Amino acid sequence: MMFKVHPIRHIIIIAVIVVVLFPVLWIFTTSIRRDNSSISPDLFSGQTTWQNYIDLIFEKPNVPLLYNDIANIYSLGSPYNKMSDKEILNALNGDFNAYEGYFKSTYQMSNSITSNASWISVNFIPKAKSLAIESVKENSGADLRYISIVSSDLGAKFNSLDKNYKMAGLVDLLNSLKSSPDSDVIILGEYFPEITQSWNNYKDSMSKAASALSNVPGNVSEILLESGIDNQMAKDLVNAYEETLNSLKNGTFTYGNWFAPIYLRRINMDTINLSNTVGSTNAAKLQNIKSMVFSTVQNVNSAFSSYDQSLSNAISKAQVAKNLLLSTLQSSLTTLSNNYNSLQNQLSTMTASAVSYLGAMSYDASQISIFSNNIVPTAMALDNMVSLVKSIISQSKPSTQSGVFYDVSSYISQAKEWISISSKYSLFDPITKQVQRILDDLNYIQNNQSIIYANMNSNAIANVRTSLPFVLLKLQSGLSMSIPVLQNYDMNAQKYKNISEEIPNIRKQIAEISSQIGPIQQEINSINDKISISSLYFATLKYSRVIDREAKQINSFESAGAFLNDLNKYYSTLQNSNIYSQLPPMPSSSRYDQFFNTQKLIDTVNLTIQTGISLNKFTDQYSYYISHLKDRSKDYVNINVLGFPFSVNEINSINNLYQNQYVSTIGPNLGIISRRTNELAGLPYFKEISGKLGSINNTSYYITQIWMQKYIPPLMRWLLNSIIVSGSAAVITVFLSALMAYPFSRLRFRGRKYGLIGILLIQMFPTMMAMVALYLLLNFIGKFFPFLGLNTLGGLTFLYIGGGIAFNSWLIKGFFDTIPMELEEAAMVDGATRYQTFWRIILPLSAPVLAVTMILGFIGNYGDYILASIVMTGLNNYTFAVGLQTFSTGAYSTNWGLMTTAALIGMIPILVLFLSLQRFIVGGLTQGSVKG
Amino acid sequence: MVKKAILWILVALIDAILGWSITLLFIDGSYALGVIVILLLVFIDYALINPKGYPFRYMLPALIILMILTVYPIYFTFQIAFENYATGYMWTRDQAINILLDKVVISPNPKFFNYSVYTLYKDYKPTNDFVLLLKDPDGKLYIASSPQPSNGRYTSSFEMLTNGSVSINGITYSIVRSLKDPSQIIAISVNGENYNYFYSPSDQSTFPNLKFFNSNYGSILSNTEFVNPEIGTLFFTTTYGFNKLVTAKYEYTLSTMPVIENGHQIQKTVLINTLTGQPVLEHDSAFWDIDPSTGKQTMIIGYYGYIGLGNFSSLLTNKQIMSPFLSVFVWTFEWAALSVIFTFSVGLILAIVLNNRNMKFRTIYRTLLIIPWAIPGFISIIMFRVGFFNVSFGIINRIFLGEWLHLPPINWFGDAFWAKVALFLVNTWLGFPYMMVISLGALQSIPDDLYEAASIDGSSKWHSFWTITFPLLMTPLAPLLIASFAYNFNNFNVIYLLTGGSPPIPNSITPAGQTDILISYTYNLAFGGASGRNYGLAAAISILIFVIIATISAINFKLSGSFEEVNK
Repeated sequence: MMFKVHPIRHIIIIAVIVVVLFPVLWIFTTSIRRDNSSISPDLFSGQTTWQNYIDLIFEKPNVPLLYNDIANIYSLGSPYNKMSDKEILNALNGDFNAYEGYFKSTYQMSNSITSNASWISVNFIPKAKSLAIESVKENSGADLRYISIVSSDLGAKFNSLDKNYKMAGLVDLLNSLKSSPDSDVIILGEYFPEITQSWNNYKDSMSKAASALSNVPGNVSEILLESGIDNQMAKDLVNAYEETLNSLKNGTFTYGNWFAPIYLRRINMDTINLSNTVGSTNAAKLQNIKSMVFSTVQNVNSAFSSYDQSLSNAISKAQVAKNLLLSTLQSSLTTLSNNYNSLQNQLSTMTASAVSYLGAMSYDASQISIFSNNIVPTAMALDNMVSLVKSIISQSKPSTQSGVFYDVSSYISQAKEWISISSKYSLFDPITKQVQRILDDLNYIQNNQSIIYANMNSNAIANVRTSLPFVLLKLQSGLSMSIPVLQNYDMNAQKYKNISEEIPNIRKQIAEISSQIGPIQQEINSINDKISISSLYFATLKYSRVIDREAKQINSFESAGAFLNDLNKYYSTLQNSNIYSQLPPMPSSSRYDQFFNTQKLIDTVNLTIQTGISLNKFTDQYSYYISHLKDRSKDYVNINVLGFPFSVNEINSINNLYQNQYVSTIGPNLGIISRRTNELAGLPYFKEISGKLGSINNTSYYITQIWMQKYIPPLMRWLLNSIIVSGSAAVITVFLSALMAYPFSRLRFRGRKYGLIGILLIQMFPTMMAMVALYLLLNFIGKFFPFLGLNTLGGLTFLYIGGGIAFNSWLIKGFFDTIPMELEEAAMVDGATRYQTFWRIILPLSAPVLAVTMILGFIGNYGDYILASIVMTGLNNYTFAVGLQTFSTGAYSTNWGLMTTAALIGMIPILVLFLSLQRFIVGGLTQGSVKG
Repeated sequence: MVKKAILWILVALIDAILGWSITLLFIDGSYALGVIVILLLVFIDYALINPKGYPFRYMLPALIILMILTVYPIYFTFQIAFENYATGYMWTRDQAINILLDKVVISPNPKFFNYSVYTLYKDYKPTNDFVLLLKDPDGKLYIASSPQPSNGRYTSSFEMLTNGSVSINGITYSIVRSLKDPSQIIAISVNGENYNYFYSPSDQSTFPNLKFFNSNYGSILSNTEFVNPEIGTLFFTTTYGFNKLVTAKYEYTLSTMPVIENGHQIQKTVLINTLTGQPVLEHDSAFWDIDPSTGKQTMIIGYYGYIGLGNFSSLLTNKQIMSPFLSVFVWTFEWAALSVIFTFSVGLILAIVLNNRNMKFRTIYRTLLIIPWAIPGFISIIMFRVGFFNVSFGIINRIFLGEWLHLPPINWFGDAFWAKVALFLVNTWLGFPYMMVISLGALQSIPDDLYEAASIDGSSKWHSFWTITFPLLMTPLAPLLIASFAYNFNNFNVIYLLTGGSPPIPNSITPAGQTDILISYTYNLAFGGASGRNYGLAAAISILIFVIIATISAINFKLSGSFEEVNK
């Protein structure tokens, strides 16, 4: 097939390769990720580490694992229970040395993050703050412009509203003023001049009071000085007066904040106390000043009260306006919805009872169908009897003899009653028909009593007379037992009918009410919309004043924060209102990011410094306990080895320390620091310190690697097990198979053909099928040869050999067949024996092929999961395949870092072997395929 | 001569080892394995002694292993396919009888005996020779003789002491009281030898001897029946442990009873329930107690044995077994066929795209595309299951569907359809490189002049693919495709490691899932755990699989000419 190579082919192939190799790429990138990839929203991460590889390959225990080990040593768990005290001490000392190393590096790293953080805090943060302030100033213009646009937009909408709506919109603003009075009352001037008036009065009264009291502190201190009193109390009294004066001057005075804490507790008490020591004249002066101040302040308070009163009046007025708009509608809506709800309840009750009636009816109907089994045969029997009677009577002559054949009147009335009910329901038609037949028959008997009686001498009629009572008895039992059921059915059916007639009516009423509710609701909504325009307008008026003022006053990081805080409040008010969508779009939300990120930087740096300090303290304590243990280790170990189980308190203390300090705070904080510094380091305006941030990020990650609780499985052991088992099985299999193949290829003997067919058949029987047998077999062999038993490497190797021989013999026989016979014949002429030709000629010639077969066998055994999982039950005896499964189940299944690392470590040797042998594999396959 | 001598020594050695093994096997009751080893022995001797057996000498090591690890398991599988070997029936009949005979039942109004152990010391060390001093609730004392083994158990006689001594089986036992405190019995004198006070569960001062008691006397005492003609029998039971002896008896005993069989009255050994006095019934591979008043039977213990075609017929007649089995059976064929179709189509398309000698980077492309094949399958499958298809964490649900497309997550292993989609996706990924490689090989063997001739005749590329390429490809590839079908038919790893067969088939009494194929279903039956094991049924299905695979392979050998190779 010779086509021109079009670029599209390359593109297709490359696209396919990308898709096909994506899982491999994913495995690799996930194995070097630092974050928890099983919950991260990103497919890949820029934060990488080789920690997983280090953990799995070197299996170096970190601090918690060391802790587990020493705890195990002191409780003499396995394997330490079998060691001598010297060995135990050696192990302990090894652990202690490792601890020392970890402490040392923890101090180093902790100091490094602290010093980096302090450097940033000293050398960069002031600069960053001023830059952040600049950026806020720069961007604030856009917000002020936006607010003025919104305010004029809202103003236009607001002006077209009726007065009541305008009023109603004031409720929110007035309430907010009520809780925190401020100068923004000016905006109320148009609607409530009295509020503005009283506010101004209040302000005035404050400034008047301030001027009236301006000399008070000076006077008081003079009086006290005159009396020679210069103690703390005197100072405090002067201070109290100064505070009072200042709050009046600043206009921040409130009576509630003044009266109890300043006046009662300090001015009043101190004046009384000091009066005893200053002499009567001065005491009187002090008393006068006190009462003067009190009365002045009372004036201020009364001004505030009148302001507060006018505010309350305004609130009630606005509330009245709002009610005027809404109350009628609201109350009619409430009535309607109450009706609606009660109707709905009624409907659901009725539906439920209708369903229950239906259920009872169907139950009764099924009962009646059971009784029909009693009635129908009766009808037939009675029919037969009556027709017998009829036929006889028709032949007989009329007789005047009178007598009663059999009185059936009670049955007739029963049957009539039956029919009277059942005929109402077509459901019972078939059985009604039967009862009708019975009734007809009975009527016939009743009407012809005498004539039948006259024919009593006929055998047939006599027979009928004898059996009739039995039939009637049966009939009676059927009818009498079913009549109550029928009546019940009838009753339920009536009720059901009544209800099902009622239900549509209620449905109609419900529909009517809901059609009424709709418009009212709509009206209420539209009124609410208008009110919300008004209230948003006032909010805008208020906020725009505040924000304007704050924007002009931005001169520090905190004032910028206050500005942003109010801006944010206003924007969220806007976004929460239901007319937000009709307003012009907001400026982009990320324009103050620099400020917020600077804030985050400050927080992070502080957290880092704090964490560094507490980490050092924690390490101090931890190493203190360890040094304790180290000093006493010999005694502790000896006591333990002598067989007296001995609990070591330090072990518990260490665990408590670790849980209380590291697990609860330091560890999580280090995680936060690492994540935040990573985010911040990428920002353009922190480029200068990105190196420092990166160092903090890495260092805190490595600190957590030392201290966090980890699970490190014995992966290298598993890998080694796999290699030993697969490798030795492959070598032995190929050697035995070559031996087996040789006679089949070179010799002709009895049984050769059946042997070959047998081998062919055997290799078709999958080893899997014989698992039960193999399991029991290994169990059995293990009793005599423990190294070949269950849960041993030998046993698994043995199984792999058994599974591979048949197939490999067949394969190798094929190879041997391709080696020309002449070589051996020549050798044999030279005096070589058969065995020598095999050993010296055939084997060397086919060595490369055998090697490839061996490697393929190795790969095959390595990939076995199921046999290994059945045979190997001890954690240390797992093969790689079984071990890998433990990563993917249970508690560790979300630790994708370890799992993918283990997968990669396990796949690389095989991948390399396979790809370097692909020439043979591919060649062998194509040869085989083309040969056919 | 030396060679001959070595040969004979070798033969003798092997015969000795194998003879010993055979003896062991027969003692153990493993007759089948024993017979196989006998056959091996004969075969080995033939190969080593008879010159005609020369070719077999090469095969011996391989044959021994084949016999033990392949032929015997196959035989075993065939055997249990005809047995009811399953949970509840895990014993042989003999083992079941022994278990029943070992059962001890405490008498309705039990009497408890305290005891102390008196041991013969030698060189100041306790020996395994001991006697027991018993004390009944009334305070009467008895001596129990040293337990003697009989029929794998132990028996001991005990008699009441009169005037401080008693004679049991002609041996006189007398107690030795402490001079200081006559209530203490410090030893028992037996024919002049003193057995010292050693252990009593009610005397704390003897507890240091508990360990020795447990390890040396425990196993004997727990199997000992203490007999007294008047009081009856005493045992250490599992209920009371070694705290006290209690009046109890064996629940079942063997006895001969006249039974009518084939019209003749014969004496037959049967198990008797000593509580009811009724013979134990035996039917349906189990022993049954019968309640004489109601005639109600309760199963005591089951044992496995030959049940003929029972396992096979239950596959076809028992609805709760048949319907899941049928659905698994059908799905296995669908799975194998569709797997071949998917992998082959992807592989063939890629092979066609790659099949151009002028194409640059061709080998690199091919190598990269082979990678899925080169990675051990179990690794890829586990990665797919945990990383890709996991319902809450897997990146398909969480990132591709959740973060990128904002679609609801797919219930990969809870919904049969999606479980199957996942299986085919993974299996195609695993299997297409093989198909690509064999297709490439076959494509390269098609001579170019055929296409040239076709294009001269004005045939389109599409047309020439279906008329030239495809038929020519099929000749060499057909056997490989059939082999691939057979391989996927038993592709346990993908099913077991990816879906584990889930979601389960409702209302099935066997552990079957909607994505289980026959082989994973068999595995569940044999090792499933939760719902019990059914080795017999598992083996029956194994044989069915073997028959199917053998048929497919036979067709394949016919196609690929392997049978001719046999005759060469």
